[in-house]
Amino acid sequence: MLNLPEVFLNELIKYRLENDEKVTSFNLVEIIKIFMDVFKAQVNQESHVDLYNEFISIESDLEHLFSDIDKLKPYKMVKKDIPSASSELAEVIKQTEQATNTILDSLEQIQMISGSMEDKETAQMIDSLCLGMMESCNFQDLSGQRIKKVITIFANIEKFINSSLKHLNIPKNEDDLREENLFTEFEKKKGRHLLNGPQTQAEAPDQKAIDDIFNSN
Amino acid sequence: MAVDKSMPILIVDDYKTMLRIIKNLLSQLGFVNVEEATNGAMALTKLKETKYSLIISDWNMEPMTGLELLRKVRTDDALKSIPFIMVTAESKPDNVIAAKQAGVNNYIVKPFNAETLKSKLVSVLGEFE
Repeated sequence: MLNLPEVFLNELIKYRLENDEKVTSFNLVEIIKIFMDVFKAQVNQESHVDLYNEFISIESDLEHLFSDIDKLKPYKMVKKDIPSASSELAEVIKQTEQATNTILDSLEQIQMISGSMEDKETAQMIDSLCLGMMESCNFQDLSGQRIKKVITIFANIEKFINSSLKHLNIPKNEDDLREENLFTEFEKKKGRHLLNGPQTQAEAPDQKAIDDIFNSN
Repeated sequence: MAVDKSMPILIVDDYKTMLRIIKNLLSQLGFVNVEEATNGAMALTKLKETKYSLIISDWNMEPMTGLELLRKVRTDDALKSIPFIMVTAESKPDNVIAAKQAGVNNYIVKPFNAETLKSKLVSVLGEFE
């Protein structure tokens, strides 16, 4: 009498030895293929056609799953893309706060000047306009709160991806993290690799540094 | 030769706030004949219709970047001699070099002030009051 589990187990042991690989969630597709081969060879497929087709479907779904995960470049996402996005957002909060403070400082000075004007009617008009501008500066606080919510969401996504990578035993692909692999040759020809956006305040050169580069090339 | 402040200038940026700021600063310097485009393709259309004396453009725009616009301007016989100033947040040395190699006349990094804009206009157009 056929012992399907024993045949399958033997094939799994053979797979481990031949590939020098542990059986993990990442090679689920290979494991399913081994099972399907054993199933096909040992079992009358006609009498178990539904079960057979279900396993075919599982095999296909898993192949697509791991292919989709690979296309996402998950290690690049957690090591580079998400941290970079979070730090950009943090920079937005910092810079809008600074700009808002500059606006408020200037408004306060205008109000001091208007306070010393003899033409009270004009002074009142100026004060009213200043007040409107101050009130609209509320945007900075509200934008900051919204942005912090997004940063928290990114942190949760990063945690989830890290956990999934660990549990699925997805091997790290160092190629995905290399700068030279981030763009196609066509994109490089169009200059897309040069689109970095603004640097952080700490890193960004001033106009003089830019002028020095411009004039020396 | 004195700079003709009535010269038509085209400013290109996908952020309307930035277009407003640049237009305002140019106006304060006496340049009032300023038109706007919000992307490279729109800019090219306007460039075919009007003979501008200066282009001031952002870099990071879609679908056509400022660098692509610059390259198209410099390879078009009718447009290639128009002075082109890049005004951009792209501040790495590679960016500056790429823009210079593509034929940009000067390069302003954001955020910038009125004095910087004026000094770059002077360097490209000549002295003006």
